[in-house]
Amino acid sequence: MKLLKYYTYALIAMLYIPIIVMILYSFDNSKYFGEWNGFTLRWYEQLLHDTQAWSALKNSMVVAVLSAVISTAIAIPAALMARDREKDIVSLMIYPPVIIPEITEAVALMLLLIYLGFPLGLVSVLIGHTAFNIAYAYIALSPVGGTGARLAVAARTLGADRFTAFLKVTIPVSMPGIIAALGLTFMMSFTDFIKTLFTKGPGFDTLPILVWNRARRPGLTPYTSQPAIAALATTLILISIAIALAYTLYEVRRSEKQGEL
Amino acid sequence: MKGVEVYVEGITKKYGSTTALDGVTLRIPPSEITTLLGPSGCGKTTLLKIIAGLEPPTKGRVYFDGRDVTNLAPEKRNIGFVFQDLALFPHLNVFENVAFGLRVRRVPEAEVKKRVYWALDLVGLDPSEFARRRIHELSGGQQQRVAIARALVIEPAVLLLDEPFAHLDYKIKQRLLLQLKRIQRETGATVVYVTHDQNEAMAVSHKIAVMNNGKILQVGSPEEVYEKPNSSFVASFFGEANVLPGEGGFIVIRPERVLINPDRADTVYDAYIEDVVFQGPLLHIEARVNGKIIKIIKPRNGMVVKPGDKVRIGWLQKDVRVVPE
Repeated sequence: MKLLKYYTYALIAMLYIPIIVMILYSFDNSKYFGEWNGFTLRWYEQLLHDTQAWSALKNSMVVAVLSAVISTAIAIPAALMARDREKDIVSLMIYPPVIIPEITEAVALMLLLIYLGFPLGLVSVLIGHTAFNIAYAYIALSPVGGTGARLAVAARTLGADRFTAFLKVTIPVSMPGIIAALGLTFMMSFTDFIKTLFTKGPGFDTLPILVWNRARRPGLTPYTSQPAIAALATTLILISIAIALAYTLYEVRRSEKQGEL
Repeated sequence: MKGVEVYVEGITKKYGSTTALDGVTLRIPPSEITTLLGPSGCGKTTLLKIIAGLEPPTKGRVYFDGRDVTNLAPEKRNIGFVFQDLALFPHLNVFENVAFGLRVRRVPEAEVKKRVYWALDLVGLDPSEFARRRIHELSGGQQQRVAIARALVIEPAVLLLDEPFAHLDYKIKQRLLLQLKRIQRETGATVVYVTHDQNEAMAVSHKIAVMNNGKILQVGSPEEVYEKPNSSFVASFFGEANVLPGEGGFIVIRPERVLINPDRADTVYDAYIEDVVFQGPLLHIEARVNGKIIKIIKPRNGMVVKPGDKVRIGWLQKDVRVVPE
């Protein structure tokens, strides 16, 4: 049993060591990765004035928020489908996008967009993200979707028409699932790299794309020095953690207030 | 409150190739408790949902007081429905759950409060203690009462209950059944109660419709159905019964009508006592006659039989019921 315990510690360490090393070096007062020249915040100060990074952050946020809202809105009616047989078929059809290699989806999307002559930029990236986010939103929603639909039937026996039942019962009851779907799809979109790379046009960068652009040509400008890239990547991690934390807090407060559904 | 008469006529319900209901016709009298009793899968819940308008029938009509409501949406039927899983709203407290049907009817606020309190009182929940509670803070029995209060507060023309007490302890169930009867008496509502439990059906019903395989086999008061079952299925499903092959079909003899070592009987057999089970005031005895087990129920006082005893058992012809199948 002791062995198992050490194994688990080692496993956790392996998960975190690369990230911790990167975070440490984002505070390194040196231009190169691997030599420690003392603590500094200059890479973060530099980020504050980095217009490229700000614009990439803005693009990332816009795409992630829109994609989360649109994909969740599209997934809600599907998740509410009450009839079991049909629901099974829908679930079966919706899961494959989750397991298909992302690169294939990305290439397929790119080919389709080019075939259609669709201009590549914010909208094409948004379409790409939303297309696969619908599957994740559905997965996050389907546990509460069944409850929401069932309780809507109860509301109708009490005299509520379809619309009132949906508004007063289904939506509030499904709120934990809706929030989960929004959070999950936001994160999927915010951290996505491959699909963005294949569907973006020139000049439209998101944060992961910017990290990639700089990391593959390190050291050419102050912005692309290795610690500067580490600082940018660390910022990306911090934003992700902040969102996950906000979601967790919401979930804890909700279950304290309302109990498990 | 005056309940409506519900009349379902020739109801057939098919799901694909399965037939859930097969030409069911039933008159449910106003201001009484009618129970749909049958094993799971017999179609009783489907029939309840068709009365509520939650499922459309494949064929047949539904009438409330002679008015055809077959195509009427559930929210326009003025029904109360208590679901098997209760379907209380977890995002609302007890007061708002009960008030839901009044709010969608745009009842003025003062009236809402009065009626919600009335309904909570009716089901035995003290409003001052329970109104602000969250649903998940209540016990199973309390949740059951909220579900009934929520369905009753709108003064429904007909109250439909789908195995509402299935998951409760025996004692709480007995108490709620009595309460349901009292509520029905006080409100005069028409109540349709679905259960697979014969004891619940006996305890609560004015009238019982025994169902099997999508059909109604027999309708009558609990006493009628118990004393005069029209088939071996009804006899065995509603109460304990010995069903033996006989002239013109089967003979049914209730276990409490079987006599042990009788002075006088129309039919007598030699038998061995196989088993004696202590059931409080009653003994459940199994006797073997020509390789067949006969169930016997007797009061415990004075009865001294034990497994292995050789006895004579018999019955009076007037206690025997002949059924065709």
